[in-house]
Amino acid sequence: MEEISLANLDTNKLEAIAQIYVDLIEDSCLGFYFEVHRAVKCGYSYLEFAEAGSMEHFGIQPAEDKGACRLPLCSLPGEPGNGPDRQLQRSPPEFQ
Amino acid sequence: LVVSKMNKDAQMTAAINQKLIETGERECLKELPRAKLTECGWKGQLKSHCKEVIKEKGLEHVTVDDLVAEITPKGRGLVPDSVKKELLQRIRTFLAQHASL
Repeated sequence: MEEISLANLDTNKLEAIAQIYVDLIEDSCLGFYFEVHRAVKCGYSYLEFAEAGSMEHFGIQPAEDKGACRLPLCSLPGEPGNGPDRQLQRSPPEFQ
Repeated sequence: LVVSKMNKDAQMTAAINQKLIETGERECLKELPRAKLTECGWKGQLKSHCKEVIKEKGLEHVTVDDLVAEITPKGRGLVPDSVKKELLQRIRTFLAQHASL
């Protein structure tokens, strides 16, 4: 890109360019702050923004063993007794 | 005299901003730092600073205003020269194309 000198601009325009530049950078910053703030408040940033010890703050226990999942509809492998309920896997009659 | 100059500067800025918005160039200019600053690792650097602020204020109590007050000076200072140069160049080019301003 051919460079265009700022030297032949009057001070009004130079000030205006500087102000517009500052506005654009601050706009980018503000967008970033909102992302960070939202991530923190919605709780999906704890891995990035919280110390490991304060995960309890969110009522989350550090995962130690990924074994069997107790959720009825979960498809994670686990012990036979804890697997998903077969009846729940079938679609309702109206969709068959 | 100072007040008069400030008014002239504000008027000039407003006129240029209006033209930027009318032509759609402002949206393009907004996108430029967003993309470039992510590429060059600026966001990553600011994240580290954000962690410190959040640690200090607490997860539950930190506000956007806290982030703005604490991070903005660092954020401005960390903008790479190449991004500054490109952005200023784009604004200058726009002015050159709209000589009536």
